[in-house]
Amino acid sequence: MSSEDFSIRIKSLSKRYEVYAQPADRLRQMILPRVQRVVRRPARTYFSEFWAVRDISLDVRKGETVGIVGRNGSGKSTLLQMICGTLSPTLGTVAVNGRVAALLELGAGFNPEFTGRESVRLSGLLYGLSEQELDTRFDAILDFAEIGDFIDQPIKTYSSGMYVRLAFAVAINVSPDVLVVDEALSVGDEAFQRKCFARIDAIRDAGATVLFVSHATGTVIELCDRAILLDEGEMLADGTPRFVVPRYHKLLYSPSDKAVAVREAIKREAVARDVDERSSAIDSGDRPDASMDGIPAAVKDVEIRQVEESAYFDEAMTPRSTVHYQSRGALITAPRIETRTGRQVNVLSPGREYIYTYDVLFQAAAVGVRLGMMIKTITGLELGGAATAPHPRSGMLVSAGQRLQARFRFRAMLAPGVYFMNAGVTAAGPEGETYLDRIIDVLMFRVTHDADRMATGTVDFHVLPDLSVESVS
Amino acid sequence: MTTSAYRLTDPLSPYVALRRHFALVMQMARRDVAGRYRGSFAGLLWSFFNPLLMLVIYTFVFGVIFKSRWNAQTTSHFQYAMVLFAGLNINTLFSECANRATTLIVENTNFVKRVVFPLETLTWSTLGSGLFHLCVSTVALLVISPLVMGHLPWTAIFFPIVVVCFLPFVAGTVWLFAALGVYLRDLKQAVGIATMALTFLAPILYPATLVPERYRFALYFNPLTIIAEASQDVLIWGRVPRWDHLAAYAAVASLFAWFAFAWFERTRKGFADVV
Repeated sequence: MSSEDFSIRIKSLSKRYEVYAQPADRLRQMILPRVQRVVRRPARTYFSEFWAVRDISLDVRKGETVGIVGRNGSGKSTLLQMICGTLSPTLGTVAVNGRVAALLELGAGFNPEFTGRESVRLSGLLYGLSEQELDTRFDAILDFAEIGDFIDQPIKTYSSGMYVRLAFAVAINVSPDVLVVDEALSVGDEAFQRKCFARIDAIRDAGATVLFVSHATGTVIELCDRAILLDEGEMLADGTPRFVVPRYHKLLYSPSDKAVAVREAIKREAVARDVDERSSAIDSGDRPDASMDGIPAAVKDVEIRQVEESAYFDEAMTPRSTVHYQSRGALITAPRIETRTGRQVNVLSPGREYIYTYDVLFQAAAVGVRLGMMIKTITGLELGGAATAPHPRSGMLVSAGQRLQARFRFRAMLAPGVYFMNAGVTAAGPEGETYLDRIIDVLMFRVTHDADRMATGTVDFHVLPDLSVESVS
Repeated sequence: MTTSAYRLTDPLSPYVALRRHFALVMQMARRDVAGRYRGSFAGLLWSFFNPLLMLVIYTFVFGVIFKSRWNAQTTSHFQYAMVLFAGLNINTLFSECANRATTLIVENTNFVKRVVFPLETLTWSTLGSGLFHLCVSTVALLVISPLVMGHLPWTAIFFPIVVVCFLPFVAGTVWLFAALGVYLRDLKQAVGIATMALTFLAPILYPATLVPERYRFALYFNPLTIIAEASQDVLIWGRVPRWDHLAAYAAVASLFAWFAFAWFERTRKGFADVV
């Protein structure tokens, strides 16, 4: 990687928070240890320490969009703050190439007493714009933020949505080289979020780097080329979002006594995976065509002229992105797709009915049991699914040793391509509904080509097109 | 590990900070001035009426009721109030800045934690807003002066020089207290008392000549004394200020500002840990 090519270069970065019982201890720490050394006394420390980020090294190329995921308190914000320069690292270095615009949490840099207009000017000046540049961009900022006359009201009167709109409008209008977005967008309404994502895309296309922290992992999968999993200040995994996000989920939902083992497993896996990184077609997500690779050449050209049952089973079609969550008293077994006559298939004819089924063996009794499924695209977009009951209240009571079989009948109203299935069992627990067992990408299936297909897009809504011709003299 | 954006060995570094972020300083100062009267009907006019009203009250209380005279030769009710006013304006600039300094950083947590903000410039914008109010008060004084005293001393043109000599001292105080105030939260109370003490122990409410000779030298340890006397000289008495005093004052004040700025820059890395 040449030096012009990198956008962010982080080398063995660590941050230690020194936790002081009272502010005066911070001052003592700055002065007294030196004095103690001078008088040949052992230097005392006046704080207890907490390592928020441990030994992270990371190179981000220009134009990359990187998602950072992790549980609360995993060090995401600390890492971003060091990248932005608001926190100084304890060890290691951060080098950033160009201007950083940041939307850190809610409350980024605006004083609640300032009016919107003052805040815009102030942040613009902080980003290093001149007064003239500010004047020329002011209208664009106002236009994007859509807050109207509120621009002359103090920020404290703003709704959280208005606030973020304004902050975002400023951040993207200062033409940043690196845009850092931390959770902030989750407060905007969907229309605004779409607008923001479109703008983030535009910024990225213009060659800027985007760092994106979100708990909305679907967004990370859709938006990012790369994801990073942080936990307890360490970087556990670094790879494509489709590789990293399921592991994050696994960590998130693992019971606390198993969490350490799960962490270690992810770390080992990530190291082992470095070898065949990006060679996995299914994992890469951004190359949907490559998913054809697993299918024998002979059947690639099969054409189905009528919507006729011609489904079959292809053994090579097994997802490599499967993630089995830590089981908590139930085990999902034998997931498969069958025709209505009970034949196992995974290459489906468009428009036909199939049954997705799996068994669940209960090792412990459970109440409010619901079994669920989800069909997803190769990019992780959740297309649709169902659960066996609308609510845990109406879920089943199951005793230990029982086996349930779930059968989900569905119609393959989908465009040709590869799709993935999830399976999950939930039960009512003391802390609300929890997963007893869950498998992401438990199986994959392909919908074959239909030459007469008139539907466009991914989902076939059974749109009936009709044309009428009328002569206008 | 000291990470300062300035060469702290340079005695001019405090002013480099001002030049580098001038637009930002102005923006913050303007906001500060406007913010004080935001939502009020008369708005900025208050900053003009305020000193005028004070002047009327001083005249009535000290001139008419106490019959205070700065020196025995005059019979004017106004004279004492005018001299008092000239000194108090200087005092107000200092004590407002010093008192605000103690909470300057703590009140702007956002600037410490959320954005990369040149915190050192908060001092200059605090000073800017103080200077604005000093200007308005001085204009009020210069407008009233011909009306009640019969003339406007030409030496008033030296007033800006007096103020410039004073500024490094005020700026240094703000940096010192701002950094210290982050760590020592008691500072706010202590500074409140200290600034009041300085007001009474300077020749602002009384002429230095009224102080017994053996204590008089002590007045000159008060950093307000030289500047208050110089202001009274140029604005009221029509005397050219004591240049030697002012020059010495400016030199010491600049050293102090340099030291305080360096102190601020060296302690700021701990701000984020405790605010």
